[in-house]
Amino acid sequence: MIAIIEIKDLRVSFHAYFGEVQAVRGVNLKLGDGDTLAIVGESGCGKSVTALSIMRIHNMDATEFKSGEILFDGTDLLKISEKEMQNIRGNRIGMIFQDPMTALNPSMTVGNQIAEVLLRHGRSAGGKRLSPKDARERATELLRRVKIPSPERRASQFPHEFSGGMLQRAVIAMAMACSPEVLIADEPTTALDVTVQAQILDLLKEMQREKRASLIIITHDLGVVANIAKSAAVMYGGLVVEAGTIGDIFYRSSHPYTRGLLDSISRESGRKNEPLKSIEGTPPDLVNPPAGCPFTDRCEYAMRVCKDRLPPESALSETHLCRCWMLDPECPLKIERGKL
Amino acid sequence: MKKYILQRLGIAVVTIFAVITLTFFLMHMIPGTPFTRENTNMDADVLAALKSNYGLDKPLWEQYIIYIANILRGNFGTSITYSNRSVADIIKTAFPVSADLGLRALFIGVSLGIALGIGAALHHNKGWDRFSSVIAVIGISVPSFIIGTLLQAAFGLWLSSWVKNVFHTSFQLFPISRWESFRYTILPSLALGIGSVAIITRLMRSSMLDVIGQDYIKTAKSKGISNAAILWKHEARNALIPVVTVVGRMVGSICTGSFVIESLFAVPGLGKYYVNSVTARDYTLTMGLTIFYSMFVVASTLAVDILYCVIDPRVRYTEVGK
Ligand SMILES: Nc1ncnc2c1ncn2[C@@H]1O[C@H](COP(=O)(O)OP(=O)(O)OP(=O)(O)O)[C@@H](O)[C@H]1O
Ligand SMILES: [Mg+2]
Repeated sequence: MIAIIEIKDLRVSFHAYFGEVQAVRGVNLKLGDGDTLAIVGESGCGKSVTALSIMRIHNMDATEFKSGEILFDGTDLLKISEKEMQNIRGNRIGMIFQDPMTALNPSMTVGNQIAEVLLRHGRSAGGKRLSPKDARERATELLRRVKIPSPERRASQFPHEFSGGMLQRAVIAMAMACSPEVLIADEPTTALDVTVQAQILDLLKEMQREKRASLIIITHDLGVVANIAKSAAVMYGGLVVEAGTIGDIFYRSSHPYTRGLLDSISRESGRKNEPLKSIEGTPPDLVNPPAGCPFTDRCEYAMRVCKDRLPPESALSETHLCRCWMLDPECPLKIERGKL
Repeated sequence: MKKYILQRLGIAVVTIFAVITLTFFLMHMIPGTPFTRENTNMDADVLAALKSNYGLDKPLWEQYIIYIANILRGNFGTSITYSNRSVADIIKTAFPVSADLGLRALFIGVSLGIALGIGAALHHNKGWDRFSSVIAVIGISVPSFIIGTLLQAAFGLWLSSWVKNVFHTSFQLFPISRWESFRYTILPSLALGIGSVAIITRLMRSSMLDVIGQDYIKTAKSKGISNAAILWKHEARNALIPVVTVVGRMVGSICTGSFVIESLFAVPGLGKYYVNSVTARDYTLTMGLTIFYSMFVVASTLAVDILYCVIDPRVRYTEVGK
């Protein structure tokens, strides 16, 4: 697998008045060229921070990249200058945010906001910069492409005149305007009506196929993962605790947290009457993160070693990685892959 | 939009009428007459003659009706204390000076306030931010006459005595009184404007900080556009929306004259007339200035609301929809 994005040992902290928030504490991730990678995990586990790090669009004053590399097509994005980063943003990597209602500038027309990214990076067939008129025309075309009715009229409207679903279509058009190689979608359907969620996912898939982009999608929804992704990474407490193909995660999951996540969604009809399981407890505090496995307090298999030392990443197969002491050869609690 | 403006104009007329009525009766409730101050033991006959001359011997409601009728004909009457001058004439000569001073002060307030506010927000909690909040606290809490006096002391006393010692000339770069050329306008405008610098700085700062934290700024960054484009097209533009309202509210009061600054710097503006007219019970002048003042405030408020529609599309569309 050729990786278009490879994150190695990423550590990101925020300096807040109450201390250092260690939001990401050593994340390794790989996005294969043309693949779709889903990042899942409950609120506050560092999914957005990881994604924003690829784009480097945190508030830079308070953010510290403590270590790690983010290799994009061989270049370490954490090393290049801000200017070089600007040439990549919106051009080679696009981003879609969670809430379309707040993701667009309220005092600028939707058409102009799409045209803005085209004016910045877009080139005409002759390789020249686009004229404002051409950019506007292309923006309208893009709105048509994402199936917004009467795109000419819509292009000159402001965000508040759109519905949430329509806005997310426009945001997708904007992120895709320059045919980026990588698209990052941070919970693109969470803020939307259930009825439009599927449409937006379909549109995303369609656009991804058409532009041959690789996709990182962040979500809470394992249904979305199964629907769209080829591989998935499960995050917990600022770490990736398990990563693998969809098959690895859904059928051969080896981390108690992943199992817990899977148990908390409804399953096949036969077990319909069983109450849904939830994982007791709350995620760890990231200002004083535990020395050991962050899941220890909530894990029914927790051992003494879990509390004291962080488990290493064990490779279960070429694609499947998991951070759990139970996978250690010396662990007395022998578990079979996928069966806890 | 047209309907909205007409509606607003209607409200404006009612407001001004209410102001006229209230001021008229309140003015006449203040004890004393326009003539009591000069001579306390004035001859009763003379007083009666004076009163009838100005129509002040008639019952109050009759005076009121006569006054309203005059106003509707565009006649604001003549001043009682400045006996040979009409109210319109006083406004015509003094208002441009006040407005000039006010606009200069407002210009200082807006330009400095916006610049300081943006700088403070961009350097949140750092030196620049601290500096501008000190300016803001001074500007808000220290009254303008103290600032004016300090400026006069600094430029009129200390600087000019230093200039005298070093260059042996009594030339004043920034004169501290009268209103003659550009040099004369600097200090009074600064003294009058510093309060609005403070208000606008604080407002712009918090408004910018609010905007900078918004999701759409992340979106703008994710497009790869330059920091300057983000600052002007996305941040400052949206942050200005609440500032416009406040500036609009300031126009009315700052341009109609500041008694304190005008008397401190001997600026021949409206403020002096206004205050004097009240203490002297110069009914016609007070009334005339009040009406002028309220019309001006109402008009500038209306102008701001229209401007607001232009810069904030959300307002524009909801109004049209109605
Ligand atoms: N700018 C910031 N300053 C301080 N702490 C931050 C900042 N941004 C994020 N954090 C903290 O970092 C941690 C990870 O946040 P992140 O936004 O990545 O979570 P998430 O996994 O995306 O959660 P959600 O599902 O709610 O979006 C959280 O504890 C959050 O409070
Ligand atoms: Mg998030």
